[in-house]
Amino acid sequence: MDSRLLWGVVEMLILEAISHGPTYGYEIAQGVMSESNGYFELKEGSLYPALHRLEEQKYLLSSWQEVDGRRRKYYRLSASGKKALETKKAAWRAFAKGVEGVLGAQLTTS
Amino acid sequence: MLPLDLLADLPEPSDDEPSSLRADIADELADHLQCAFRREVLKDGDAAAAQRRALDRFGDPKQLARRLWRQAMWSRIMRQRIVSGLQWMVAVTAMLISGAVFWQQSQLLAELRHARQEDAAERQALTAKLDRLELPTATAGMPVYPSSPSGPPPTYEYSATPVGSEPTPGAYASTPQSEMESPPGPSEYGQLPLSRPALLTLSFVQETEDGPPVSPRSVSLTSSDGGEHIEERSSLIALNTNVPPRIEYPNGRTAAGAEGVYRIKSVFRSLEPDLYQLRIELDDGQWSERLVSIRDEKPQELTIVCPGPRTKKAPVSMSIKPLPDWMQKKRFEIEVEVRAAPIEIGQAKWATSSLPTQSIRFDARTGLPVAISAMTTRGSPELDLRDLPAEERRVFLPVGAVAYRFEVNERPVEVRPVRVYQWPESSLAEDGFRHVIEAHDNTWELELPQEFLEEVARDVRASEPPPSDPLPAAAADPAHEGVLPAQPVSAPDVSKQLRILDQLQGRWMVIDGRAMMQGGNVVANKNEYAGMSFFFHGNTAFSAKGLERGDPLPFSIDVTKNPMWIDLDAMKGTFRLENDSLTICFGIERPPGLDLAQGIQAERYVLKRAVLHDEPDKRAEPAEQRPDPLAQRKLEGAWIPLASPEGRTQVQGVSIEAGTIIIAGDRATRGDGKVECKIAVNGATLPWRIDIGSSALLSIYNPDDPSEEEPLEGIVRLEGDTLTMCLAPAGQRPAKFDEENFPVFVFKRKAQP
Repeated sequence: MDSRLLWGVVEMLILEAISHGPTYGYEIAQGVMSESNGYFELKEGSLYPALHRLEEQKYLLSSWQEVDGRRRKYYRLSASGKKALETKKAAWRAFAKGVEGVLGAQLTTS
Repeated sequence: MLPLDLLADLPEPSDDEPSSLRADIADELADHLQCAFRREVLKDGDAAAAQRRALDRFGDPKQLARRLWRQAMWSRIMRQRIVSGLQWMVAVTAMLISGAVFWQQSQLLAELRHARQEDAAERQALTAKLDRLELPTATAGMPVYPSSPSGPPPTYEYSATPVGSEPTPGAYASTPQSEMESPPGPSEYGQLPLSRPALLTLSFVQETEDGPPVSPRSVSLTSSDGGEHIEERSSLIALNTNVPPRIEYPNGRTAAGAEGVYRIKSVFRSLEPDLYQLRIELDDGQWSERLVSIRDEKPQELTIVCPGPRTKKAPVSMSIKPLPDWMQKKRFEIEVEVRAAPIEIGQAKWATSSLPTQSIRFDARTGLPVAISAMTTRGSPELDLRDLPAEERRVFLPVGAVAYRFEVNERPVEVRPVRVYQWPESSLAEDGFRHVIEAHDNTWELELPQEFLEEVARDVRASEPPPSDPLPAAAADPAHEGVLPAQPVSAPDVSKQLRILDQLQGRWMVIDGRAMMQGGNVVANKNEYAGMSFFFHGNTAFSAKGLERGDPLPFSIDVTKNPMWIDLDAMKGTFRLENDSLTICFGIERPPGLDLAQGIQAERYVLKRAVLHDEPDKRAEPAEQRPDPLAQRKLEGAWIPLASPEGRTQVQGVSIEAGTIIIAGDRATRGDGKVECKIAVNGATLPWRIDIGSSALLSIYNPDDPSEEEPLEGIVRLEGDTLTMCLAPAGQRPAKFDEENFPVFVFKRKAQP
């Protein structure tokens, strides 16, 4: 898959994973993998930089909680993060519809 | 598990690093690894294998920790780099500029040094030349130079000049050596450079060259480079007496006690050849400036003729000639600024700064001054003249030439900036005081130039706000002070006040009138109220019925009350204004509401706004037709009808006699003598306005039923011997000669037998 396309998709998937409620890095990675039936396996080397970038862009808010004697960082969507997610989802759907339309037409004609 | 030092690869902490950054990164990644480890342990219970698998999957945690740290610090690192770069650039730029300035200064210093050397050499050569010359003999009026180079410093003398042989300005004095003033010692005169013997001697006389001496308050000479030269000394010299001359210095000039005829002289010396500006100021504040050219070795003696003192003032009664109706409205204020005009003596102009500009404000309706103010050191206090009778509203002006200019102020406040029109327009070069008039104990009737009025009218029309726009013209108009309530009101209230006041302006037809009588009876006398109108004009109001009009009475309103208050002279009332409907209830005591109440004697009127057709300013309907004898006189004579609205000419239905109208003064008579009525012509408007007391005057207007007569209002145009009138029933004055909607009559002047 085109890396530029994938880059935007990763952010969208992360935002979507977080949109269901406050969560943390490991759970996000597991959730994305589980929901995509193992198709998207977010590597930690991509996941955490993306999380921090989204946090810097104010799409995510974070807080720390004590769990089993460890500090855990929880992420949740900000208002602008919710809007960004909606925008990305709408763009993706339009993109997918367009691609599907072309592919479907080719299938029909072939 | 995972006793890893995740932060081992991170750079040393910097000052601007957030204190918790490293711990946050380490804790977050450690938590992730711990979760992954636990999950892996569950698979087979082998902790070592689980740890290995977890780390294999994670990658290098130290590297990721470093990446996250850089990501967090990126913006700070970049900002630091940019700041460092800018600092470096500033430092380099400053060094370059300093170097350039230093180099330039070095060059200038070198040039200056060179010039000084050249100058010294030149002086040396010149001195050597002069040393070789013979000692000159003392020539009358000519500079006398000491011969010995080792003697006193070189100086020269000037001579007194006898009356009758006064030198012409710019010429040398020619007094014999014997009559010369004793030369003061060198220590008194000081030194003069031999190469620049320029000397300027000034004499001051009053009004003519033979006039008495004048002692100016100050004399200054300014060279072209702005340097001011100090008057070294001034002398009071006896000219035709044996009284020894008295020497007076600038601060102590006086001629008191001296005998004979004197010339007061100011002496400037050590003048470089140049073009100088000479400024003379007299004791009464009059001053003059002129240019004086000083050339090498050319002493000059000038006689300055000064004007006489200008301290006398004379009372002047001023008024403004009748203004057009639209200008008589409240929003305009006429102002005339007056100041002493400069006096010309020869080619020199003498202005005066001690007679300040006076500003006289006029009531645009009466043309009389209402206030005077003059700029003083304590501001410009205004003297209110409105309580004075017209003949006592005088302005004290400096006797002689007085310059003036007009100013028309439009006085809306709060909403729009005040518009000011000036005539003539002032500019930097000319301040507009170009009209000059002689002030004595006399009477002036000033007239605003017609083109100025037209200019203002054009501009006002162009900037006229839409009808709904508040027109807060009266707020700042002292002539309408009573219109606003005395107590302080808020800005929105002022705005409302002004809006309501503006909406009230104009003519209102009474459609219902009732009165609560003393006995508690309500009387509605239809006959009395029928055809009755109320006019609101500025801050005055009056009633009218037909051509009969009541005296204008001052009124004021207060919109902060509910219902709103209106006070008409001594009457107190309430009112409601809704679009074109007005209800007023008033009496000696203020009624509690808008309805008549038992026990309170009051009158209640319901009025409807009189509709005007195509009036340029519907609310500007003049409340009264001021008699305009000049315009009225132009209409006097017999007028034969040429055309009527129905296209009938001359004798169609009526005789020439019946169609002819004869105007004499403010009366007009129908040609057959059966109808006579009043007419009023206002020539201050364009077009002129005419009120005709009875429509029966124009029998052709309604020849069959002259009993249905009614007052007419219209406009009139006089072109040579042709008189055109466009007429309508009262309250519907046409704005233009609109044959489509209004009857237009054309008359020709009947030739005199």
